[in-house]
Amino acid sequence: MRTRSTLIVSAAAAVLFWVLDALIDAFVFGEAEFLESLVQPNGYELYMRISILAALLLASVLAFSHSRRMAQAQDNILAGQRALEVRNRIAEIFLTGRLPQAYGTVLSLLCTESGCRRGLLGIVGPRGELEIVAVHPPSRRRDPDFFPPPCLPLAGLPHPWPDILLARAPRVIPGLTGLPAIDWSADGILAAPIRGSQDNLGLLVLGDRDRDFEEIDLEQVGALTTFLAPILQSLAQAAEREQQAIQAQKMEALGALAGGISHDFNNILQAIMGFAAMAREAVEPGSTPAQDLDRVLRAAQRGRDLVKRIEMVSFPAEESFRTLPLQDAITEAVGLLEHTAPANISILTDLDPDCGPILAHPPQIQQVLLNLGTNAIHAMEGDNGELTITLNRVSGDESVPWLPEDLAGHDLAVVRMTDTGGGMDGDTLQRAFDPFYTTKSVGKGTGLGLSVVHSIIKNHGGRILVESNPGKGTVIRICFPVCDPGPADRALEDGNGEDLKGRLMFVDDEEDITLFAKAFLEARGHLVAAFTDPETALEEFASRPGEYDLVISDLVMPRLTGDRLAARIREIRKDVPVILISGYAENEYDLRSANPAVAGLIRKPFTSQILARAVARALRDTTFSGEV
Amino acid sequence: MASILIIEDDQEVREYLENVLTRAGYEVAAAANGEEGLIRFKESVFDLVITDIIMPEKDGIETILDLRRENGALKLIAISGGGRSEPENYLHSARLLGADITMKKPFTNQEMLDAVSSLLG
Repeated sequence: MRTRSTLIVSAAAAVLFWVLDALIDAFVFGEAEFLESLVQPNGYELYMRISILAALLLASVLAFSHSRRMAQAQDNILAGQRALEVRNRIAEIFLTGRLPQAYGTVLSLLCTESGCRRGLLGIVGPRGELEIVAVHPPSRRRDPDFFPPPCLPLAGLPHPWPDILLARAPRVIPGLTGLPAIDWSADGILAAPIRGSQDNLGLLVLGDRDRDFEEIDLEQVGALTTFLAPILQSLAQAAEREQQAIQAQKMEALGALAGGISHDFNNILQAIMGFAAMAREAVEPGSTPAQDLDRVLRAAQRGRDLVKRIEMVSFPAEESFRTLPLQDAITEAVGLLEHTAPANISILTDLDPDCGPILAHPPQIQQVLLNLGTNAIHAMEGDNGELTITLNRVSGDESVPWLPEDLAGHDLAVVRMTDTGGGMDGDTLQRAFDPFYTTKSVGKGTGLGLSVVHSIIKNHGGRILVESNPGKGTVIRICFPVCDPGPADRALEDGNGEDLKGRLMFVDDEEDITLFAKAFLEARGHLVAAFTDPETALEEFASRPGEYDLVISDLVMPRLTGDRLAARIREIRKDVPVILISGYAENEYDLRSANPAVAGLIRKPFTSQILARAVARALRDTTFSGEV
Repeated sequence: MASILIIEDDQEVREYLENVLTRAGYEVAAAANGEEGLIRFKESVFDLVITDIIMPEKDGIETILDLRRENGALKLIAISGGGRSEPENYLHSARLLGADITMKKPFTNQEMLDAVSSLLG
């Protein structure tokens, strides 16, 4: 339009100039007749007019192209401003809005901006499925508060959706494109992948527009997805963290619940078991009542085992940790598993003999291995199957892609259990460690096994990683920090049964406890100095550091906590072991690795046997290292 | 015949212990809490006291301390079904008080009878 009008104006100006010059030539200079000058100018006039016209034409062309550039620049600025406004609005929606509604608002905004009647926003979930977080126009039937976004497995997506997702840049697909799984389609789409730094985060699709998509639309949508990528990535990470927090809360709630119910259940089971056993003795052996009572007793026994397992989720074990070669633990577990596995399932092992031991509670590790092994065998039931268990040492400086960040830099013992069973789908995998979640039929499992496994591994400073796909089996990796054995542990393993007598310092702010600990330990032949004030105890130790073989201290005390007391004692004398007593769920692994003075942890409540054993062990350890 | 005092707040468990020990030939008295247990203890002579640890009002810890004050050589079995939140500190002390044997509920009749006979000889 602008070009044509400029041409008309230029032509009119040229004609006007010609006429004007003819008039001037005729009437001002009187050089020729007006008509003659107009139609048939002489050579000089013609030369002048054409020169001036050419100059004018050149000037107007220059002016025109300049104005055109200015207008274009103005358009660009306006478009840039608009794009910026859209981005600000998107950021604002994500900052202030609630998910998943915010996705819908953003998609509607983008559709309105681009003049598209239909749109779709999909995000690739953590387990490789496409989550359709928003469609435009929004469906009134599927309020996101009540319906979770539909999740489509990537493997099952129809053409051309996988191509869209894997593409590097946006593209236009003419004609009708649909996603039948969610009943969505549009006539002519612009489809753009949303790409993160490493992988595909999702896709944005706009369609059903009156005019065709152009190069500029591709550019704009491409820039928009680049802007969206980091936002979506951080939202996904936040969602994952929230999921982990919920999982932790669930475990904590179960722990609290376990404390309450186990006490009552134990009383109930006590009465059932006791009376049933007495009645069993009173009736004739082999009679029907005797058989019925046996059933009652068996049921009560199951109840007892169940309460024990519930307790294990929340209550830390009373037994002390020791260094444990995983090779032995695995060999023992495989021996037991082979007895229970059907003949068509073989168990193969490949154990690195040089993988160092871990600091562990042996029966709990046994439980972890048996539980995971049994699950693997159940997963392969009915078919020929193979369970492969390997043990490797992964050095702290090796880079391993699946390694959790918090274990990086540690030397790890990694147990890998691979089965050839049916595998787990995403939902089962996600819930596998939830308390009481089970895929087994009622009566076949309580669903507590894996949550117990999870908390045991956590208490050992380790991690469990599960990879599984339906039809492709399951790979479970358990990582524990390697603990190369000190002389102390070897001494204990070789030690004889005789108790060593020692000079002990016992510190606890509760006087009753110090009195009775002193009485109990002195009765076993030790010399005991008891203190209720940790600072007084420290002064006494500083004045006579050579007079003590072992310090036993409560962890939680006013003024000076047990672990700080241990550190101060170590400053004075390096070789005096300290045993801490604690009622809280500290992780023995953490305490011992943070403070080399801590030789052991006794958990409250503890039996006198446990106290005696811990003292004997600590004394034996120091004697041994003294000899070395 | 040896005499045993049972201090246990849970009625079913108390009745069960009375039953199993009476049938085994012991003389048994029972109390539903620590206070009542101490009164019973002062009334007659007992060779052994079996006490629960977590009880309302006077708990097993205080009871054990009081019993020890009455008779330092008394044979004591402490029993408990766990419970972890508040009672946990009491349990800690109770085990340290040097109860001769501590038993976790539920135990079998035989385990209880073995524990009793090991203390009463």
